Amino acid sequence: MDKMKLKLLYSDLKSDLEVIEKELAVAVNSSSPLLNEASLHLLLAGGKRIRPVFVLLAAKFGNYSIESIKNVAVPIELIHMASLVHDDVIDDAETRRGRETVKAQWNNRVAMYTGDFLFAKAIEYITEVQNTYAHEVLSHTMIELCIGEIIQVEDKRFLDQTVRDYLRRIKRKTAILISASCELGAIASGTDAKTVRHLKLFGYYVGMSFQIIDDILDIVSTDEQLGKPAGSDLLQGNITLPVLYAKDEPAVAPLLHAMLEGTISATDQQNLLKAIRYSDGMTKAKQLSNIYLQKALNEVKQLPANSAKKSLQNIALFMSKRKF
Amino acid sequence: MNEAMITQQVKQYKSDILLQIGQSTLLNYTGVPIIDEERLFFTLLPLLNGEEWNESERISVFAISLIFSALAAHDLVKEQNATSREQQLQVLAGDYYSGKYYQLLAKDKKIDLIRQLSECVTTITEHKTRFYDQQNYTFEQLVGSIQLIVSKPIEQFMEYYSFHEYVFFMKEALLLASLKKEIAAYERLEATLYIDKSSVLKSNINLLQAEMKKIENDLIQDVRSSELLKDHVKHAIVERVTKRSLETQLREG
Repeated sequence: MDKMKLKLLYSDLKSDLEVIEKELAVAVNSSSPLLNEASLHLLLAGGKRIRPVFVLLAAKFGNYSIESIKNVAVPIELIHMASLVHDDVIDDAETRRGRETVKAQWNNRVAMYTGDFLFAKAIEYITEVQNTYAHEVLSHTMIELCIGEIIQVEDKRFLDQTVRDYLRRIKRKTAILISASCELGAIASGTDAKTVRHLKLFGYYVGMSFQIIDDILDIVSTDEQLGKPAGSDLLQGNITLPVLYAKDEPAVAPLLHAMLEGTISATDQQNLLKAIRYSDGMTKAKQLSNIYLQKALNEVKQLPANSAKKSLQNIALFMSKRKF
Repeated sequence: MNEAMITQQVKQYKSDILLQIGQSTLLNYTGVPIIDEERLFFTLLPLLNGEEWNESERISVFAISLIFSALAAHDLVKEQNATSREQQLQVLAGDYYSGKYYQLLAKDKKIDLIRQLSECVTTITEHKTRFYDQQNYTFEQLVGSIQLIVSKPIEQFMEYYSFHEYVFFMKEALLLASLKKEIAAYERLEATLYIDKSSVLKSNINLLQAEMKKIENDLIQDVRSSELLKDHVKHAIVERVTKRSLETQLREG
């Protein structure tokens, strides 16, 4: 339902998004039957395609042409898909978006090759863009994305981290790719430097707000809503913002310590999720997400007036208020 | 240039490449990235043979080495249960080195080379999956896949910089080195990348050994009779090609 509502917000882009969807199918086509199957498996799992949407909307502030801008939108989505396949190996995840992961259906090695194939395809695709700065932006983004993941692995089960540590981590893990989507869309369409800067910042703030909401939803949603087990991030040992804010509350602390020590029962896992759900941590996390949302909306205000401006505003509001 | 100078040059390149990718967490958990000195030697053949060599060639060699480091890191991820922190970081190490290769070439404004090398990586992954899918590949096809996996980006680099004449020596030597490593590991009952995954290769070990011997003999002959290669380079190639054979003979008494 939420996905449908989101699609309504960018219905103007419907035909262009169909181009992107077809192009994604062409891009993942491989001479290897196994890679073909694994990549199509991922593609058919769908997804919000929110990153390509940001690329297209940002490009509307310059000389928009779907034929050239698809060379940015497609690789951005491929990078996102590739990182998810590799993440599932790291998290030992069996399901994503309600479907078996590549590593579950085949094995880790096949998942590694599928991710490598998609990353390489993404780079191959974006070389249609001749602006060398765009390549510096994307390569930097890919490295930062990795560093964010590395820090996440390093910080797992580490309770003595600060909110600042968390924010630096999600900046790299999530916000930077959304920010790059906006920046690259704008650069590739020849948008002026000032507008590029506002779009880049908009993407960054929306990405921060989006990830905080994602971390909240991990705790409050059901398995069905998430398409994966609820609370899986926390049970993996990822200390997210609601947990960080709630960690010292009397109802949370003992259960959280037991969980991190691996001595918690299945019933108490549910009790822990429930305790965090009703803690002040949840409220504080929502407040911080709202602060980032407001910053994003302030950036939108400074953009030149056009139809994309309203869409960016609506999508930002939707993403930060979504229920799952 | 003598053997000591060649070895020194290869080692210098290796340490310069490692400087590009120092990441403390990865170093702690996954160790120093894999940079195969033998492969680096064959990548540097034109330089060692006195061809004109600029900063762009140097940066491109760094990038190619990082591609192989990335692929090697991912080959170390276990097929099942990669849940240890070391394994999780092995996944990210490969992605990190890939990003670094792209960044190096992006900063050098080599968009066309980025495209060619990324095409190489897609082809390599396609050939790697030949050892995992259920299709029927012939012995020749699988040996061809191994050769492509171990040499394609270097071939592309040599073609890009018009070092075409070196491609044959590099490809044959790297295939030979790879087959020798595979067979040595197989005979020691250690894990192999290809033989363990292919009933065709496993049931044709004798044929694989004969193929190896043939490549070695032909390659040595071609190197010795080459008008392109200088004597010190010929000597260095033959020494590397025969080294592992001698080691095997000595081990087997």
